[in-house]
Amino acid sequence: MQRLTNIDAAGEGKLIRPLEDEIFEYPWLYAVEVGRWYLTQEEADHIREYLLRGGFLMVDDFHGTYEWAGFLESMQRVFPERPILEIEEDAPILHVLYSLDQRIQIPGRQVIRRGRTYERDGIVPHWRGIYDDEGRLMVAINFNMDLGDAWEHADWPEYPEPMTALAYRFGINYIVYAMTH
Amino acid sequence: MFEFLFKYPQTVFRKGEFIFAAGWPGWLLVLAILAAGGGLAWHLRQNPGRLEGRAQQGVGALQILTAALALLMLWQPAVSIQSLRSQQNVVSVLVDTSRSMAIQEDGRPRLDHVRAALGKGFLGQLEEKFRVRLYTFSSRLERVQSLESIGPNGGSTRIGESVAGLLGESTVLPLGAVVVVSDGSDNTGAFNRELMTEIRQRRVPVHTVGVGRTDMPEDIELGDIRVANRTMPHSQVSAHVTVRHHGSKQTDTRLTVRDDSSILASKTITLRRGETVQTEEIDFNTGDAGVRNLRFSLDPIENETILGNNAQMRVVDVPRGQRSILYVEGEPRWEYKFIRRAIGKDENVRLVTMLRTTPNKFYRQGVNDRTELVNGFPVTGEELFRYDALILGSIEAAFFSAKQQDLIREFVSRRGGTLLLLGGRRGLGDGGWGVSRVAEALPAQLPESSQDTFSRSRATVELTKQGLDSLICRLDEDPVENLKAWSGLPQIADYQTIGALKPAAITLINGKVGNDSFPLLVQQYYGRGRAMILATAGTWRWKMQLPHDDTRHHMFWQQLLRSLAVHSPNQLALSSDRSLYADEKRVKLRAEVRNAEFMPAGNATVTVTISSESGDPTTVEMRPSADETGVFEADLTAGQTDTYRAEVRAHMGDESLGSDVVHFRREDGLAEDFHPEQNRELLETLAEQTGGSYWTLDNVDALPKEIRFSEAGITARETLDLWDMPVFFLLLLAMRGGEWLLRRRWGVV
Repeated sequence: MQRLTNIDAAGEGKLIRPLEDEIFEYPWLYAVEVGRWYLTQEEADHIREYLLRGGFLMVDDFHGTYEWAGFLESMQRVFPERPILEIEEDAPILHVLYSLDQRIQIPGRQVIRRGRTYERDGIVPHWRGIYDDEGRLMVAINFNMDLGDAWEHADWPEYPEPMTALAYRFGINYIVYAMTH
Repeated sequence: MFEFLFKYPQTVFRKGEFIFAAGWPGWLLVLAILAAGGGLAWHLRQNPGRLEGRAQQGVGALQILTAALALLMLWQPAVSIQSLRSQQNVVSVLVDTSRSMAIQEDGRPRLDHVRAALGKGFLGQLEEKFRVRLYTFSSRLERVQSLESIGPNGGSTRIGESVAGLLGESTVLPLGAVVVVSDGSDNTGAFNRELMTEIRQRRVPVHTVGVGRTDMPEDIELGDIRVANRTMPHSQVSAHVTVRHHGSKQTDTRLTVRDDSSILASKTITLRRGETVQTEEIDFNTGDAGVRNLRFSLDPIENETILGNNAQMRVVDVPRGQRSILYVEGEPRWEYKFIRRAIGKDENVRLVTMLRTTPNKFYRQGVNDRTELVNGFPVTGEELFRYDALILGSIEAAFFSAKQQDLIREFVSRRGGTLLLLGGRRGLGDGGWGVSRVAEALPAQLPESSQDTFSRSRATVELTKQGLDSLICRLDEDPVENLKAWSGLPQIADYQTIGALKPAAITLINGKVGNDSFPLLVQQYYGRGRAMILATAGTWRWKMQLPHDDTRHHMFWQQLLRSLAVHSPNQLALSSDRSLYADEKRVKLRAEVRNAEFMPAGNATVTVTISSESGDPTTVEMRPSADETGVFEADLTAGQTDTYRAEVRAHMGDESLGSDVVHFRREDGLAEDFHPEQNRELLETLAEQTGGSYWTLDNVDALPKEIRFSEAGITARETLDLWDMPVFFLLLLAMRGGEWLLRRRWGVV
């Protein structure tokens, strides 16, 4: 991010729990393996308040029907009234810095071992989201893909470089979008 | 009493010249007094009798004074004075018949008191010596034959113009004096220094007779109202209202602002004891676009009978249309996001942003179409000056070429726009703006870029006194609640030092770290526009650290951004000299015309069309001002009570320079309700400046005797003896009697 954008990014990230008030200091959050995040109602309310104030949440690395159910159960307690929608091709988030017209499933590192890009029955990747009343994306949902692994294992020779590059572009777009909308 | 003692009225001694009628020189009198005094003193010394010490001195002094007085009388002191020849001069009597003369004094209208006082003997005495011409005046002067049928119907009072008009038409007459009978409430604002000089130059004394009480404790009056005559829809507007009252006791009243029948704002104000003039502030929202005929009013106080001066109208234009703000940001950051969100739903402000996402890429938002700013930051005035305000974020001055920096400076000075610089690691001093071509316009001497002034530390904020008064910082209409709202805000995430403030800079908000305070939001006027600095990029915490339904961040940014845009003038700006024409038909319109580069367009053709519901539209060409290039003027007449619309259009060849619209209101019958008390000061000044005197209805009977002493008209020089003044004889008696009493007291009779 520091190399590719003008964002004054800190060198290290920050690990935060959903109930900590410190989340309000970070208007962009990344949550991983949310298929098993099992939020309490208090946590769900806290995240709801965070998002309504203007925060942005990117969720990643959860796969298949079972994990979708697990994610959905908690997410619907955050926003029972808001639908989860597919992010359209022309959505601003896909064009805010890079034009992301390649909807390619970005796999986790298991692709090296198993030779396939999907996990469990999560064959088809979905880019989904939850929008606010002004039509702005609040939650970006990367289902059946693992951008985090693509970033993390960028220096593995075995991990496909094009996937890493695409994952970086998605991630940067998500961040820049969150900082502009 | 004066006349009893001194035989003649005071005017004689004021206007006359002292002489000795005996024809002997004055120095001889002095010599005679010295000789008599010396002789008496010598005689007393030689023949003291039983007088000694203080008694001798006392008796001696009295004898010398008696001798001196007798010698003075022998010299026959007199006054030489010009006086009007009997039956050869005209005296004009002007009686005020404006509506204020209907105000009740002791159960009767003022005009009835005038009729009674003048009819008792005053006019008769005048007619014995002069040819008397009677006039009435209010908005115009009119000759009448008698006072019987006149009534207090006039809509306004023009004392100065009436007197000047009378003097003007009387140049061929032997006009000896003018008498003005009035309560003095000249309410057209036309009685100025020039008019007074014109009257004085005629050298005709004007005697004034004041009518009515000079003080009316049971009356309150809504005076001046200062409110913007143009603003954006759904804007918070502040009106400053002057209230006049007697000040003898504290009392409350209610100040209300109405738009037709809707109450926009209302508050209780306390009329403070000891103050006769108070200024109060009242805020209200303008609502949708349109013309607002606002009525400001005060509830009557106890026993108040004159209610016409408790209300006034003002017209506020709330035009449709968007104002555009260009915001150039050098790096994606949270402040940018939350500024966009704060103004996003405002239909009246278009925030166009250019965000430098990477070293070589800009992301544009809020543009009208794909071509807007496609080539980057504007390089011509025509392109840049389309915007009403300009915000520069964390972007270094070196990003802009020298020409662009000049354009930014001229955006403020020539175009009249507002420039706002935000804090950031590449902004303000750290961005080199302190040594840029824009530095002159900025309200602070920014530190050099090597000093690293941007601090990522938290700070609290507090309003200054100017910030408390500013609509930008108005989070609540109640001043106490407003302060609470500000003090409850979370800390900002960062701040930047901006160096020494320039003399004209005004600080609205300070930042605070511990006991250290530093300017945070600062502004100054530069040329036709304004430059501001907000030395932080951390107000986004007011959004993320407060409940989602808290509106303070949104309110502050919406008010700040609207303030940036609303004051920027258009290429063509039309204004009238007043918003309300009360009993005044003459309207002065002024148009400022500039081309696309905002240079004055002196060669433009400018026309204005006036229309109202009650009349047909009239179009006239405006004439260029003799004093300012690009300014055009027109004088028009608005005859009827109505709301008028004036639309101006300008062309230069085939090129249209745009149009503008202004509304104003014409009302009749208002002026007389204001300043109902007698304006004694004006009447005294008029008399004093012209060589006349001020009178009341109680002593006006003495005026005919004094009026003959005038240098105007057909005059003769009179010599009035003073030697036989009763005061001389009384003094002689007093001194002789006093000597006898003293001798008796000292036992030397």
